[in-house]
Amino acid sequence: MTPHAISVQNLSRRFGTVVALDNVSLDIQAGELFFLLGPSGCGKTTLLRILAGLEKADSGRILFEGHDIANRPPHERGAPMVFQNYALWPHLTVAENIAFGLVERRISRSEITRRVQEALALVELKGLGDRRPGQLSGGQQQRVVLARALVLNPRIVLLDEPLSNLDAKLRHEMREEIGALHARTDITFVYVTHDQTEALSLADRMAVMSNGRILGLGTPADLYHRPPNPFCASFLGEANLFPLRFDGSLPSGPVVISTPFGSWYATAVAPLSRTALCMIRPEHLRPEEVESPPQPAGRANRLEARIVHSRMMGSLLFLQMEAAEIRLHAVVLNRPEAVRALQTGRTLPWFVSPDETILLPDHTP
Amino acid sequence: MNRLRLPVQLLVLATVAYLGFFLIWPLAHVFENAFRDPRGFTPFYIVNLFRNPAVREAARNSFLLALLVTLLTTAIALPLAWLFSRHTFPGKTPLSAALLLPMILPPFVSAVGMKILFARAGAISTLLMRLGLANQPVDWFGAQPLLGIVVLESLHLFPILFLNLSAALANIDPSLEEAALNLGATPGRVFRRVTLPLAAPGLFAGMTLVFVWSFTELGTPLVFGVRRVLPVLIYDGVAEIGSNPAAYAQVVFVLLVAALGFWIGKYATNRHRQVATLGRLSVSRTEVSLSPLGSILAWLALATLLFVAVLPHLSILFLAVSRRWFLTVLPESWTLAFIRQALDSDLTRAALVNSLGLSLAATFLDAALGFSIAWICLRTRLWGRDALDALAMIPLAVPGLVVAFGYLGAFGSVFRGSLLDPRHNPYILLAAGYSIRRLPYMVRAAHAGLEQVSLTYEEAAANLGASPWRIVQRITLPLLSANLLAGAILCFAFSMLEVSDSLILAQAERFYPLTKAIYTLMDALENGVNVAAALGAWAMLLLGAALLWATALLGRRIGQMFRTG
Repeated sequence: MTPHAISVQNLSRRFGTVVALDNVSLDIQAGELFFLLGPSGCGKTTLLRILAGLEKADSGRILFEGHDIANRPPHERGAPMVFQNYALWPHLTVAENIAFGLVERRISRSEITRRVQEALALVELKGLGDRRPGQLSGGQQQRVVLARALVLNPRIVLLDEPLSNLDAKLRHEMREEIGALHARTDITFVYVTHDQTEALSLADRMAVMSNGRILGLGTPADLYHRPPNPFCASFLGEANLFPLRFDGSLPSGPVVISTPFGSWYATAVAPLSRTALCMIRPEHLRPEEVESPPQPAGRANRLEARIVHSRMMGSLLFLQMEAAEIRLHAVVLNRPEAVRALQTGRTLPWFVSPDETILLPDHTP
Repeated sequence: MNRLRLPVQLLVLATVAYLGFFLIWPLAHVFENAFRDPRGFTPFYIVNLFRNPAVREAARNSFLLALLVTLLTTAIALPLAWLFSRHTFPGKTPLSAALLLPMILPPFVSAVGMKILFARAGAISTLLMRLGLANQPVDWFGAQPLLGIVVLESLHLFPILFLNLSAALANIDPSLEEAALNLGATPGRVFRRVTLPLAAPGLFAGMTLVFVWSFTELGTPLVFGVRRVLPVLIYDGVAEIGSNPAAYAQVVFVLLVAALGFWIGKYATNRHRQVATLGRLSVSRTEVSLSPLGSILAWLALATLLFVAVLPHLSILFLAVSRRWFLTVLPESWTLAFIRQALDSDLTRAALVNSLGLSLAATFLDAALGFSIAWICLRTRLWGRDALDALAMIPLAVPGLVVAFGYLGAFGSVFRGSLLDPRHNPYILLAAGYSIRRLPYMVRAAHAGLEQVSLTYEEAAANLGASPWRIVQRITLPLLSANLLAGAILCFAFSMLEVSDSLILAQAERFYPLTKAIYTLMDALENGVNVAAALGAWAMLLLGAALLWATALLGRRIGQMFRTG
C-alpha cells in the first residue's frame, strides 16, 4: 500500500491556555486538493504552519509519504506555501522571487532561467519577470506566489487563505484557476480557508475544524448533504434545524420518526437514541403548487407552512415561513409561477424527500 | 479652518522668519565669506582648500576617523539588533534599556574618564602590571590617539544605530522570512538573502548618521589633544574668524559632507519606506527563545559590551568621588567634596544655571514650534506646507560646529556690541542654536504623534460643535501629550549637553554652559579634573533620568527620535 501523502497523528498544540490543536489525526491522499475549513481561531492555520515547520507541535507525529518529518526544520520540508499576504520579497524582481527556492537548491543558472520562464507562462505572467512585486496587481501577485511554489515541482503545496486579499470578482477567477492548476499536476494541495464556498466548490475532500478539532471529514457533497453534527450542518450552508424526541433508539440509515408535521421518513447519519436534530436544507423544501411531488407520492414528507416574508434575490426567492411554531427557510427558483404562488401570508403545502430529511445527533462532540 | 487662517499664517511667517534669521542667514554668511576676501569675490580659498598640508591631513584624519567609527559601530550594532529583534531570552527588556546607557554622556566627558583610566599611570596599566601581564606602564593612546577617539565615539554611538536597525528589522513582515525558510533557505541564508537586504536601507541610513556625527564631532578630539582633524582645525580658526577666509572654506567643506551624508541617508530611508509598506503584517513574529547556553552566551557578550561601554562613565564617577587615583586600580581615598564643589563654586553654579535656563528656553520654543509645524503640515492644506517641513528639517544636515561658526561670524560682525553679539552676550544665540539644532526632533515627535491620532477624533469633535482652536486644545494636544513631552525631554537633555555651540559661542566665564565649564575645568590646576568629573556625574544623572522618562513615555517608539529622514 502506498503511504499517504500527508499523515497527521494525534497532533496537539497549545498557546498558553488556548488549545489550537486538540489531538488531531488526518490522512491526505497523494494528489488530493484537500481543504481545511473552519471559522477563524479554529486551528486550521496552525495545522498548516506545523506542516510547513513554521510552528512546532507540542505532541503528535507528522508523516510526509511515510517519513516522520516532525523534527525537520522548515527549509528541509519541501512543502512550499502560498502565504495569505503573498510574502513576495520587495527587494527582488518577480523572476528573482520565483527563482528563490531554485537558487537554494543549487540548480544551474540556465535551468533556473528556463524553469522560471515556464512558471511565468504557467500562471500567464509571461514578460513580467523584470517587474517588482509592488508594480503588479493583487491578482498578479497571487499568481507569482503560486509560480514561486510550483516552480519547485513539489510533492505538496500549502495554501493559507490565498484568496482572502482579493476582491469578489478576482477571487472567483483565481478560485477557478487554482482548481485548473491543480488538475494539471499531480501535486497534493492543502488549502486553508474560512470560506465554505471555496471549499465546497474546489475540494476533493475537506476537514471541517472548530476549536482545534476536526468535526467533519469527507467529500464536499457528503458533508453538505449528510453533515455528521449540527456544527457542520450550519457552517457549510443554510440549514433548517429543529429538535425531535423519541423513545428508544434509531439505527443509522432510513428510519421513520414522528415529527410535529406527522410521521416522516428520514435518513439518520448515525445511530441515535432519544433525541435528534432534524435538518432540511432550504433548497430541499419544495412547494407543491409549483413542483409536483415525485411518485409514489406517499414516500415524500409533507407539511403546511405559512409564508411570513419573501425576498427576491436575483435567480432565487428566499422565503421565511412558519409551520407548527417552527421557523423554516426555503429557497426556490425565481420563476413567474413561483412568485405568483408564493405570496406573503399564504399557507401552502410543501414537501421534502426522505433522503433530504436528515437526522443528526443534537450536539456537536 | 477659516477662523484659524490668520493665526496660522502669522505662525508660518514667524517660523520662517526665525529659521531664516537663525539658520539660513548664518549659513549664507559662511558661504559668502568662503568666497570672499578683502579684494572681493574669489573662489581661491575653496579651490585651494587642500593645498594646505595641514588641512589635507586633517581631512584625511577626519574621514578615516568617521569611517572607522562607522565600521566599528556597525560591527557592534548589527549582531546586537539581530539578537534583540529575533530572539527572546531572560532579561531581554532591561538589557535593551541598558543598551541606551552609553548615550547619557557626551563622549568628550567620558573621554576624560577614559584618558585617566588608560593613562600611563592609570588603573588599566596598574591592573595589567599587578596581574603580571605587563612589566611597565603602558601608554595606550599616546601613540595612537585616533584609536581612543574611534573607540569612545563608537561606544557612544552604537545605541543610535542599534535603535535604527532594530526598527528596520522589526518592520520586516515575518512572513517574508518564513517564505524563504519554507522555500528551502537555511536560517543563515534567510538572513543574507532576505533580512539583510530588506534592512539595508535602514542600516545604511543609520550608518550615514553615525558617519556625519563622528566626522563633525569636536569635543572628543579636543580632549584627546588631537589637533589634526577638521572640527578642531575650525575651532582653532575661531580666534581669527574675521580675517581668515580659509576657516570659512573649511566650514563649507564640512557642511557639504554633512549635507551629502544626510541626503544619502534620507534617500535610503525613503526607499525603505516603499519597501516597508508593501506587505501587511500578517502574523505576529514568533521570536526564537535562546537555549540556556545561548542565553548565557548572549548575557556574557552583552555584559562585556556594556561594561566596556560604561567603563568611561564609571571612571568619571570614580574621579568625582576620589582624592588620589594614581598607580592604583581603584582610587585610594574617597570624598564627596567635589560633588558638593560642583554645585558650589561660582563657575560651576553659573554653568548649571546657564545650561538649565538656556535649555529650558530652547525646549519651550521647540515644543511650540514643533507642534505648530507638524500640525500645519498634517492638518491644513496650506500652500507650501511641505516646504515648511523641509525647512524645519535642514538642521539635521547642519553640524552644530557649522551653526556656531556661522553665528560667530554673522552676528559678531553685523550686530557688534549688541545682545546678538556672542562676544558681548551669547545667551540669545546659545538658546537659538540649541533650539534650531533640536527642532527637527521635536517636529518629528509631534509628526509621529499626529499621524497616530485618527482624524475622526477631531472630526467628531467638530461635528459636536468644537471650533478648530477648541479641537486643538481639547482633543489634539491631550492626545499628543506623551509624544510632545518625550520630545521635549530629549530636546532638553541634549541641549544641556550640546558641545560645539557651547564651546565656540560662550567666551566669557560667566556665560559658560555646562559642557564648556567641564572642558575648562578639565585642564584646571588643583583638583580641576575631579570637579569636572563631578559636574559630568551630575550631567549623567540628569540625562540618564531624562532618557528613562522619555523611554517610559514612548516605549519602543523611542527609536523614531533618532532616525534620519
